[in-house]
Amino acid sequence: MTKRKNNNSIEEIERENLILKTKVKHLTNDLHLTRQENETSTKNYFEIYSDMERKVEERTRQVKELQKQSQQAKKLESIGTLAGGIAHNFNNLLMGIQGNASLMLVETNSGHPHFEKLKTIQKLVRNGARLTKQLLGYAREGQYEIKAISLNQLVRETSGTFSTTRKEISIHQELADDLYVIEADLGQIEQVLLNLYINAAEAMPQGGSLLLKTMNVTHEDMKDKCYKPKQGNYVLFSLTDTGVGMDRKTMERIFEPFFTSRGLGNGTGLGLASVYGTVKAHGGYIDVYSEKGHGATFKIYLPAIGMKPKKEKNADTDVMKGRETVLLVDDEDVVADVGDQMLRKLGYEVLVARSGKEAIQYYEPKRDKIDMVILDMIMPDMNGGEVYDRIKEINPYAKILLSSGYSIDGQAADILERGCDGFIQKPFSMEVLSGRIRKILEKRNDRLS
Amino acid sequence: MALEEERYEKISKIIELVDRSEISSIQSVVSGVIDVINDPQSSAKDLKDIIEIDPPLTARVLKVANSAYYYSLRKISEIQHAVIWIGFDVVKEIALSQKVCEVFDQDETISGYSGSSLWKHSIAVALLGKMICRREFGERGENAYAAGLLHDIGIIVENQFLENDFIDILKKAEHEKKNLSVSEYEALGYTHTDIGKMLTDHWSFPEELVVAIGNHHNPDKAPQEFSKFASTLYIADYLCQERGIGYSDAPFCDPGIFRKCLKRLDVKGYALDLIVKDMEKEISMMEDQGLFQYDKAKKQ
Ligand SMILES: Nc1ncnc2c1ncn2[C@@H]1O[C@H](COP(=O)(O)OP(=O)(O)OP(=O)(O)O)[C@@H](O)[C@H]1O
Ligand SMILES: [Fe+2]
Ligand SMILES: [Fe+2]
Ligand SMILES: [Mg+2]
Repeated sequence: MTKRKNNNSIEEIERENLILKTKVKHLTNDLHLTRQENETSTKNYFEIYSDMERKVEERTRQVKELQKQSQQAKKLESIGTLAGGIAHNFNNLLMGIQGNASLMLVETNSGHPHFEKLKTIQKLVRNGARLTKQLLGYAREGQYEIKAISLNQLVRETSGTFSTTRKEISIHQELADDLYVIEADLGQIEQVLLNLYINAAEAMPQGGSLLLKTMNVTHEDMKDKCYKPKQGNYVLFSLTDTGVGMDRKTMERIFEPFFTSRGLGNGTGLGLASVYGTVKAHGGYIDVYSEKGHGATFKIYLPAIGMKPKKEKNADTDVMKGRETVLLVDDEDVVADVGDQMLRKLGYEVLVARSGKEAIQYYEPKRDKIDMVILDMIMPDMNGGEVYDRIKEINPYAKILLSSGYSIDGQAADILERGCDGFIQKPFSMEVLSGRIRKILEKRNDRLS
Repeated sequence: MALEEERYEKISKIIELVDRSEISSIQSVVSGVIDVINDPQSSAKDLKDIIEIDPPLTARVLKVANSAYYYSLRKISEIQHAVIWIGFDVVKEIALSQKVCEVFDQDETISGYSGSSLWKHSIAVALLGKMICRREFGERGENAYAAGLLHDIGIIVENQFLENDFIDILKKAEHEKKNLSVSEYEALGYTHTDIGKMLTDHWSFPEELVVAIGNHHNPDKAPQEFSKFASTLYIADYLCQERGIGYSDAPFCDPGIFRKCLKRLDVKGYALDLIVKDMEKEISMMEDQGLFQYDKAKKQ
C-alpha cells in the first residue's frame, strides 16, 4: 500500500493538498462569517433587551402616575365629604338667620331705618347660602333640580352678561349647531360657567380673549384620559383663555377646596372645587390643559340626552298665603321655630313636631285635619324616609313636602320617586316656601274637584 | 421589437392575474425580509415585526426554529428568542423559505414535475448558492439564498394560470427530450424566466435578484455588474439538477455555459464538489426533520 502510494502519488498528493487548502479556505470564510453573525445576534440581543427595559420603565411610570391620580381623587373626595358636612350645619344656621330676618321684615315697614339693614342681612344670608351651595355641590350631594337644558343657550346668556362687566376681554364663540341637550341643574351649570369665566378673567388682568366652544362628542373621543368615561354621547364645553396659565404643580391642585393662588382674602379657592363637584354630580368629566405663560383650557364633558329642552316657569316669586293646616317636622330648634313663624305669617295653622316619633304621634289622631306635612330628611331618631312611609301608611293621600339642608341626594330622590310631592332646600325664604306649599295644595284641590 | 412587445403584453396580463391571486399574498413578507437583508441599518425588531404580522407564518417559523435541525438549546416561543438563540440571519432564512413555500403547494405529479419537487429543488439551489458565496467568496450569500428560492417562481405561475398549456408544455418537453424553457418558448413565446423577471421586478425586488432570476438559464446575457451573482445562481441551479435533487427543468443543459461561469467566478470543480457534498448532507438532514412537509401541515 505504502509503496504504491509512494510510486504514483505526486499528483495525488498535490490534489489532496489542493483539497485541504480549499477546505481551510472554506472553513476560514465560514468561521469569519459566523463570527460576524454572532456579533449581530448579540447586538440584536442587547437591542431587544434594552427595548424591553424601556418598556418596563414606561409601564412603571404609568402605574405611578395612575396611583398618584387615584390618590388625588381620593383626597378630593374626602375633603368633599368633610366640606359637605360643614355646609350642612352651616345651612341650618343660615336658615335661622334667614327666617328671623324674614319675620322682622314682615313686621317692619319700608320707612323704618332697620328695613334696609334687614334687607342687607337677607342678601348676605343669600350669599352665604350660595357659598354653602357650592360646597354641597363639591360634596357631590347636590343633585338639584334636574331638567333638560340647552348648553348653547346657557353659554350665550352667561357669556353675554359676563362680557358687559369685562369690556377688556373679547369673547369668541364656536357653538355646535345641533348640540345635544343635557340633563342638568340650570343654576349649578350657570355657576360652573361663571366660575370658569371669572377665573379666566382673573388670569387675564390686562385683558385678552376667551374662546368658548361646544361640541358633540362620544366616549370614544375621550380616550387617553386618566378616567374611563361611561359609554355614550357627551356635550363638550371648552373654554380657552390667553391668560397667565399655570404650571403642573398648580394644575394638580386647582380642584381642591380652598386652594387658591390669589392670596388669602382674594380667593376662597372654592370656585373650581364646586365646578368639579357639580360636573361630577352630573356624571360629567373635567380636564384642564395649561402651560405657564400660555393660557389655559378647561374642558367639561356632560352626558347628553336625546331630548329637546322645554321652558319652565318660575313659581317661586310671590308670597302666596293660605289657611290650611301644616305639620312641620324638624329636629333643629332654629329651623322649627323659624318655620313655624313663617308658616303662621303666611296664614297657615301650624303644628310642630321635633322628631320623627313626635310627627307620627301628632299625625295619627289629626290625619283629617292636617292638609300637608313639611318633613325634614335627616333626623336622629327616625329619619325622613321612615316617617314618610309611616305617614303614607296612615294616609295614602297625605301631601308631603321634603326639606333638607342637603339638596336632592340619593335618599331624597328615593322618596321623591316613591310619590312625594316636592322638595325644598334649606335655607328657604318665605317666597319659596309659600310657592312650594301652594303648588302642592292646589294640586290636591285639582284632583278633588 | 414587435415580438418583444407582444411578449411583454402577454406576461403583463398574467401578472395582473397573479396580483389578484394567492401568490401575491407572499409579496409583502418576502419583500420585507429582502429589505431587511439589504438594509444594514435594519434590526431584529424590524424582522420580528414583519414576521409577527403573519400569525401562521410566525407559528411555522417557531416550529422550524425549534426543530432539531437548528439544535437550539432552549425552547423558542417568540421570534425575538429565535433571533437570540439561533441567530438573526437564520431567522431571516426561515421566514423567507416558510413564506415562499406557501405557493409551492401543488402535489400532483405530471411528467416528473410537482410543486413539492420544485420546492425541494428551490431550497437546494438556495442553500447551495448561499454556501458558494460564503465559502468561496467570503460573503453572506443571503441574496443568493433568496434568488435560489424564487428563481423558478415562473413555473409556479404557469402551473396556476396557464394550467392546460402548462401540462402540454411539460409533456412535450418530456417526449421530445427538451429543456422546459424550449418547450415553453415554442408554446408561449416566452419562458418561466421571463415571468420570474417581470414578477420580481413588479414586486420591486433589488435589481440584482431580478436580473439573476431573469437570466438563470442564460447567465451570459446578464449585464456585467450582475454577472457574478447570476453565474453563481446558474452554477447552483446546474449542480442541483446534475445531482438530481428535486425537480429538474433543464436536464439537457449546456456544460459550455457552466464552464464559462466557473471561469468567470474563478471557482474550481473540486471546491464545488466539497460544497455540494455538504449541501446534500444538509438537505437530507432537513428532510429527516420533516422540514419539507409544509404542504401536509397546511392541508390538515
Ligand atoms: N383660567 C385660569 N388660568 C390660570 N390659573 C387658573 C385659571 N383658573 C383657575 N386657576 C388657578 O386655580 C386656582 C383655583 O381656582 P378657584 O376658582 O378654585 O379659586 P380662586 O379663583 O383662587 O378663588 P375664588 O374662585 O373663590 O375667587 C386659582 O387660584 C388659580 O391659581
Ligand atoms: Fe429554471
Ligand atoms: Fe431551476
Ligand atoms: Mg375662582
